[in-house]
Amino acid sequence: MKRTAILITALALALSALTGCAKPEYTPASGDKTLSSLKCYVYYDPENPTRKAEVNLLSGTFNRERGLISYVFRLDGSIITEDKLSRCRIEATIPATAKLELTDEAGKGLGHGFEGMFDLRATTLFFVITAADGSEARYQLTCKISK
Amino acid sequence: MVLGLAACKKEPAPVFDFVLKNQMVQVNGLSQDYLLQVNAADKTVFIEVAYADKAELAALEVEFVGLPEDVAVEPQKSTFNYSAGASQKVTFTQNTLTEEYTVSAQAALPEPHFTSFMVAGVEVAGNSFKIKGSADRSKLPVSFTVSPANTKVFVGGVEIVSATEEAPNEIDFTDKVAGVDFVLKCDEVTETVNVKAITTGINEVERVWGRYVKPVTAGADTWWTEVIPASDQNMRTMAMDDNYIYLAKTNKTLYAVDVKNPANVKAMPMEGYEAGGVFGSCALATMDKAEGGSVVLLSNMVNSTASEFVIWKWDGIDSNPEKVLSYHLPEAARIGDQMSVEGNWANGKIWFHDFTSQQKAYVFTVKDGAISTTAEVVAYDAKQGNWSAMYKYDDTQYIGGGPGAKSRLFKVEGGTATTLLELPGAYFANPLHGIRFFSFNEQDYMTYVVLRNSYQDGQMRLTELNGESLQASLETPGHTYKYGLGDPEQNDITADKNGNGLGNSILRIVGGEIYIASYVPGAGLSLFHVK
Repeated sequence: MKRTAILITALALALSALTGCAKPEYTPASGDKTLSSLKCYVYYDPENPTRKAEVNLLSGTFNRERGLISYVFRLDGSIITEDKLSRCRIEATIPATAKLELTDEAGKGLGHGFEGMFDLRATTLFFVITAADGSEARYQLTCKISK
Repeated sequence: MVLGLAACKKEPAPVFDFVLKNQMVQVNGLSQDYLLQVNAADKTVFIEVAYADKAELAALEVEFVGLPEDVAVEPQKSTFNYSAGASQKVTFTQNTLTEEYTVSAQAALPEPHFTSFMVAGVEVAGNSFKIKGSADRSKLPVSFTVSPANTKVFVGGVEIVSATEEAPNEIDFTDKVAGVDFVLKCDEVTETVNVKAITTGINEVERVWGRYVKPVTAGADTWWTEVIPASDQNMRTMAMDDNYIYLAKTNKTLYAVDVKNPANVKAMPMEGYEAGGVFGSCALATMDKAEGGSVVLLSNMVNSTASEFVIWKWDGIDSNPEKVLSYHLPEAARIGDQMSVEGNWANGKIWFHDFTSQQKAYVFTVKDGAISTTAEVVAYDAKQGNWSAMYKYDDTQYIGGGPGAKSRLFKVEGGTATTLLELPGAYFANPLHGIRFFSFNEQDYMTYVVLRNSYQDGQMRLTELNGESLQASLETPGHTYKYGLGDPEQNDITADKNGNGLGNSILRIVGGEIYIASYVPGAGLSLFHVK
């Protein structure tokens, strides 16, 4: 009985030692900061806020390398009017491991993303997508109106 | 003292706190949108014009607008040649202090793409186009427009131009998996667009098995001598359910052939069966039961008012027959040579064409497993041959098929069948039997058997229906697939002559798959799988 107890203790100590030596292997932090989509929703029916037009902002002029995005709203005959563009929601698709933050034009973080409504009649927004590994991709979104 | 203090007061140092913003820079005279980036830290302004405006770089007009009142800029508006990578210096002055910004501009790389793309007249959408499976895809004309306009298109390293009637190009789309790579080149930019053909309709018709009476490319088939007596020309028709193909013989034998293995043939029980009339006509059909499974119906043939017309029913290959109809013709006629059914055993109809007049049919209704004891007489406006039958397309359109007359499309209403179309002989040889309709993979078809070589062979055929109506489809039918029934390889062979020009074809959907059993007496019986 005593010998068995000694053996168990020795085995436990050995296992403990091995556990102590094992180094945890962490998956390298992702550097993915891809901006997969950037859409805005224009609420064109004030009587029914569920009715909205979806606009792919990346379908305008886009230089991914420089992070420059420009979209011109063409209002001729569209259900989207200049007035409706004053209150739009913006939605970006980024990797789950990344985060998006609006910045000022100097690149200083504003502490929030695309929350709330945006006036897209003639505006330039700046934002940064930060990957899990800390790398960044900076973007500048300019919206204009063509009447 | 006071004066002294005043004299010592210093003028405040001039301040330059102006920061250039995006909205203060305006690029004029472009046809497309442009990108603009002001970097206040680096004192740079970057302009990217669209590729379409590349030529404008040689004289690009940049203007500074909306500046604060105390800020001056030189030049405020200028035209500059940025095309060779040159940059322009712009000086902003505020409170006698200046800052210099460097303005540079370039054109975006081209994004060569198709602005329209048609293959064989079909628009390409989502990098694919639809085309009939029966079409020859080896030489399809491709017409397109591109942007930018100076984009060139290559296939297999060879430049192609958009097809015209005078100069059609011919692109091989036979490989549905790999598709065709169209390489678009504009300046130094190359884009590859892979386009695939998606076929509609039938991809393949597999003959699951075939039994041939006198094959010429295969060895003698003992099935027709040892299992089924092929020489008996009165075994005129056949029926099919999900599991068996049924053949009836004049000596009061009803065969059930296992669709999975035609070597398994069973003679079904005949206990209690009394033919009456002439059994040899063997009009045979199956009807599906609402609860699953099907019944096998076999009638005799009668040609006088005195004879009892009988339909017998089997609930399965091991069950005994049950008499489900006893009927006497109200006038001189002959029925029971052919039986065609529509609907099911809960709600359907059974048609018997009159052999004698060739111009009417007796139609019994089926309701909840009971056959009406009286029949509606439907009169045709044209003779339809003797051993004929009527095949339903929809509630009012039927095709009559059989030997001795060209097949006709009828409109059936109020006891009258009015000819809509005599099927054109250029496409539909006579006689046709077992006419069925189905849709597969976005394509409509009519399947049937046709007698060949003076009734010594037969074919199962599948004809594409492409018109806006059945009539239009039959007037100008589409591609027709043909499969010989007398031989696995050859058509129109010389087998046993089919004395009466009979046959049948049954379409069944089993497990979501389309199967067609086709039979011509004296030629053979085959089971096909449409894929």
